[in-house]
Amino acid sequence: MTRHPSRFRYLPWLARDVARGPGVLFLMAAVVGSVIVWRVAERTGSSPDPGFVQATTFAAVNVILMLVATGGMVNTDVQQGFYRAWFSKPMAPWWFYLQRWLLGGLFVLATPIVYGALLALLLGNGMGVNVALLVQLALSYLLVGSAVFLVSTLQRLDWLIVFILSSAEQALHRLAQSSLELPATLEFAYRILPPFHLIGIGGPTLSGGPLWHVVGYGTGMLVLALVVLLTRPLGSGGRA
Amino acid sequence: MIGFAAAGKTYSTLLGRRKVVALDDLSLDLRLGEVVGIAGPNGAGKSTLISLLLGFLNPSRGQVTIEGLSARRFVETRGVGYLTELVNLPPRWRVTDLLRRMAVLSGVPAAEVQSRVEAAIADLGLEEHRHKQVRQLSKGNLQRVGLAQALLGDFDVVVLDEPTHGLDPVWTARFRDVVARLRRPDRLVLIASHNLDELERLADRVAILNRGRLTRVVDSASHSGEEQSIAWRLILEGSPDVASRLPGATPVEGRAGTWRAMATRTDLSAALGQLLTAGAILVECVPEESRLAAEFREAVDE
Repeated sequence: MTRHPSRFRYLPWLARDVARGPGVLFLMAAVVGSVIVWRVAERTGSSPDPGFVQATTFAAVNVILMLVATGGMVNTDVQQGFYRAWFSKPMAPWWFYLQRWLLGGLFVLATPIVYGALLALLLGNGMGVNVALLVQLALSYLLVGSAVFLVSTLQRLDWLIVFILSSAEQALHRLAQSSLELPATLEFAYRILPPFHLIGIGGPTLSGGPLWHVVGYGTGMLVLALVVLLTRPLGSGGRA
Repeated sequence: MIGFAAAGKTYSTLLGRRKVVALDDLSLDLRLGEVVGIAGPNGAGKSTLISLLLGFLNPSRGQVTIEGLSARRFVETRGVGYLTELVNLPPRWRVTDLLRRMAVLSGVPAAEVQSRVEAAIADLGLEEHRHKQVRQLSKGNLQRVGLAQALLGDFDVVVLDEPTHGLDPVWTARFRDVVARLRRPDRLVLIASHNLDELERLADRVAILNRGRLTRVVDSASHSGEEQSIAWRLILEGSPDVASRLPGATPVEGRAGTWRAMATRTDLSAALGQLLTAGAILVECVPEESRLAAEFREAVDE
């Protein structure tokens, strides 16, 4: 055994797991989506801009994409008891799952590139890579992906909990924007929930206060998830 | 090496209304070069002790240290060879891939991974199962895969929780050879098992837990000693007066000439000497339970 083995030694295996899990789903979705757009364009004789098609598609699936990329990340290993094999080896859980989280983000960002390339190939126009979209997806992953990561260190059904929180926050945002006055409790909840309403795809790229709100909240949840993994043992009982 | 200093673990519900003391005031030092057994009835705290040792749980009281580090810190930097009681591994992973992954995680240098995996496959007789998925393995084969992954790294601490669980008699016997090969001066091997015979054969010392407390530590010197009174079964012919020569001996009902007696080896030898001189013929004399089993029974009854 090497006394100081590389910290990245398990990264290729983690990448393989992400590729075979969320990666395959993302690839299939990109192929199916681009073929549908191509067939519709052929039938109607139109020539849509791949950048526009991409933005519209990702606006619809944004949160789902993030949930699939990160759902059950820590919790599945804990619930299934796999962690006992992984973390009896010289590997810290926080580092293991940080790598896994970063890989999830890479695959999320690779998806629009593959989708755009397929669209450009099939439709015969456009570049297919939309930098603004990549930035928006990265911010979205930072916020939603970190939320799932944090919940996953503490609780089962992490993806469902974040989906409910995200839907609730966006509903509260719409209420707050309307002429209705929110009750104090809802107003408080709206203030403390992660700013999911800011991560819409296709709109203008975030800047200034909203940008820092998303970055600060996302980074904070990511750091908190790592702190939980550093300080809280993974076991909950003798055999659990 | 490993020190439990008044360590205790209490499980409580979320609001703390219900508390269960799984381990209480455990003080025990384990040294390099030893093979130590952990025995105890169900719910005695064996699995909790192992979870504390691996840093999967924090002690509620006291300390658990390995080479002066907290258990978790030691495991994260040096690693421990660990076979879980219930081998939980991703069901779709194939045996060879799984072992490669575990070798990489264990810190085996890249150039040695393949040879180490092949050696583990050969050692544990997994050749015909190497391409199978984990979910396709029988209980015994899964146990062998669990053992293989635990032993891939050349760790100073090896923890085996119910290692022969699900193994057939042939592999149970081979497992003893595996443990014999694990023994070395700079390694500590800890075996938790219900199988007292196995512990008696393999361990230098056996810590007996009952209801979360360490009730006694039996070392090989004392359990091979002469003065421990254990149960014996005797078959004698020639109608000897067993009861008067071996106090406490009782005839086994329905079996002529068969007796049961509690005695030390010394007392039994003396009594048998007298009986043979008086014309009895000894057909059989076997211990009904091992010395460790006797210690265990006493410890649990205390």
